[in-house]
Amino acid sequence: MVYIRLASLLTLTLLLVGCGKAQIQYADKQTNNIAPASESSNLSIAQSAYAFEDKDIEVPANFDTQGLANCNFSAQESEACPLKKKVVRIYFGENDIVTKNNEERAALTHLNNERLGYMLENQLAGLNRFRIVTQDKVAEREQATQFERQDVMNMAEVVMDKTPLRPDYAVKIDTIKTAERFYAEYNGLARYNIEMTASVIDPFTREKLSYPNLGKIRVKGTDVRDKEFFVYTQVNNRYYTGFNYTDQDNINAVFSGMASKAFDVLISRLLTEMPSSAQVLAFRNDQISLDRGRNAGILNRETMIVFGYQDGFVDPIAVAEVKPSSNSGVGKIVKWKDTDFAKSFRKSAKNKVFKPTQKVFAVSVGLPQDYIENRL
Amino acid sequence: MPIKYLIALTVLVLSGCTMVPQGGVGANYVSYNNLKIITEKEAEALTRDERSIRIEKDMKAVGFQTVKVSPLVDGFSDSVVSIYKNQYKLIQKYKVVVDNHKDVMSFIHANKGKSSKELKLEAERFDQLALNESEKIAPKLKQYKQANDDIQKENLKLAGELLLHSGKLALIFKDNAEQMLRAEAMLMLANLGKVQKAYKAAEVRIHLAKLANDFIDQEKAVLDITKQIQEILNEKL
Repeated sequence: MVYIRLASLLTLTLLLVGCGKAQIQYADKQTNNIAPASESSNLSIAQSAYAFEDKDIEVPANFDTQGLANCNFSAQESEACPLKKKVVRIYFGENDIVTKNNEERAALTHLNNERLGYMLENQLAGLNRFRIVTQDKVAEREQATQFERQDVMNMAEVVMDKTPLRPDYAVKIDTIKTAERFYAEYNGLARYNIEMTASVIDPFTREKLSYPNLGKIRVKGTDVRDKEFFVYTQVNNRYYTGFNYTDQDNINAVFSGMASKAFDVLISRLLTEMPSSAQVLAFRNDQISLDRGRNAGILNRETMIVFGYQDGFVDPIAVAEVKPSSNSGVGKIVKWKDTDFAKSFRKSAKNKVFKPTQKVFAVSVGLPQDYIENRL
Repeated sequence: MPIKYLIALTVLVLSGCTMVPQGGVGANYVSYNNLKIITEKEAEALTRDERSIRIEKDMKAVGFQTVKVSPLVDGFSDSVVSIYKNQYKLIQKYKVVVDNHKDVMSFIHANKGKSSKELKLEAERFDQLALNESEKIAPKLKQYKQANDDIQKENLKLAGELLLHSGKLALIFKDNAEQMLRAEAMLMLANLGKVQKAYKAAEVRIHLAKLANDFIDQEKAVLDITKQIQEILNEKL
C-alpha cells in the first residue's frame, strides 16, 4: 500500500516536473522606488563638441523641426512657426519664509525680490527663448526724460508706432526660503535653503502650462559659500564670532547669491527644455551654414547635433560647434557620426559647397560651456 | 587587594536591588528613620533642576555619620559613606559643568591660541558689552573651572579614602584572620541592634548614591552627545 502511494507520488512529481514548460510569470518591473532626494540642483551643461564620442551623437529631446519653414523671423512672427517667441512678463512670488530665528526672518522679509526679478529678466532676455516685457521702472523714467527733452512731434510719431508688448504669458517664480541654525558643542552652523519653481501662466484662461517644465530647483547656502563661512560661535545666547547672522546684509548677500545660482540652474534647464534649432543650408568640408543665428536663440560656441529629418524620423549626421551671427550661423563639424548616411554627406561636401536635397537641421544640446565661463 | 573587591561587590549587590517604596499603599518615598527619601522612579520624573536639588537635600538629611560596630562593619560603612559623600559633592558640580559647557567651550574655542592673559582680557571686553549679569562669560568661566577642579579633587579624595579603608581591613586580616573573625562575630552579636542600624544606613546611602550617580551619568551623557553633535557638524553637515 505504502509502495503504491509512494510510487504514485513519484509519478505525480515527475509529471509536474515534466510540464515545467509553463513559465513562471514575474510581475513586470518598470519603476524603482527611491527616497525623495533633497540634494542641491546641478547645472546641466552641454558637453563640448570636442568631447563627443560616436555614441553621443544622437538627436536630443525637445527638438522642434516641424513647421520651421513657416518662420519668417520678423517682428510679426507667423503663428505656425514653432520658434515663435512668446511674450512674457516675469513675476517674482511673495516671500515665503520658514524659520524660527528672528534675525533671519527680519532679513528675509526685507529681501528685495524686485531686483531678483530684474536679474532674471536680464538673464532670460539674452537667451532669446522668450520676449520679455520688463517690469523695470527705468522704462517709464526714460520715456519721461525723452518727452521732456525731445521734439514733441517726433515723440508723437514714436508713440503712435510703438505700443508696449502684450504678454502672452506670465512667468511666475515661486520660492521658499528656509533658514535654520544648528548649534553643537562649541560652534554652530547656519543652514540656508532656497526651493524655486517656475510656472508659465496664461492670464486669460488661467491655465498653468506644462511647457517648459523646469521642475524644482534647490540651492543650499553651501552651494554659494564655503561651509566654513556659515560657522559661528555664540556665547550666552549672544552672537560672538564667525558668520554674523545678526547682520541683515550678511544674510541678504547669501540669499541673493543663492537666488542667482537658482536662476543659473533654471536657465540651464530651460535650454535643454527649449533647445535652439536651425536648418542647415549647406555643407563644405567640415563647415556648415545655418539659416538663423542669435534670432533663434543660438548661443556662442553652441554644441549642436546635425541630423537629417524625414517623415518624423531622424538620422544624426555629426556634432558641430556653432557660432551665431544675428540672422545666420556657421558651424564647424567636429565629429561625423560613423554611419553610411553621415558618410554620404561628408563625401558630397568634400571640397565643394553641398546643398542637401533632404532637410537637415541642427539642434542644440544645452547650455554651452562658453556661456558658463563668460556669462554667468 | 581582595577586600577592595569585596567592598565593590557589596556595593554592587546592594545597588542592584532598588529600594521599594515604603510607608503604605500608594506611598512614593523610601522611609528612613523619619525621613521620606525620594524613589528612583520619582527622581527620574523630576526636571533636571528639581531632581538635583531633591537628591542633594535627601542626602544631606540622611547625613554622613556612621554607627561604630566592629572593624569589618565599620570598614564597609566607611567605604559607603565615602562614595556617598563623593556623589553628594559632585551632583551640583556636574550640573554646573553641563550648564556652562556650551558657552565656555564656544568662548574658548573661538579664542583658540590665546594666552590665559589674552583670554582674560577678551572675557572682560565681552562682559562690558553684556546687558545683564547672565550675559557675562567671566563668572561662567570661573564656575566651570572651579567645578571641574572640584570634581577632580573629590574623585582623587574618594580613591584615597577607599584605599585607606581597604588598607585598614587588609591590615586586620593580615596576620590572624581566624582570630579576628571570631572577635568580629562576638562584637556583631553584642551590637546586633547597631549592626541593623549600620546596615540600614548603608542601604539608604547606596540608594541615594545611586540616584546621584544616575543623574551624574546623564549629565555626562549630555556632554558626550554635544561632543558627538559637534563631530557631526564638523564632518557631515
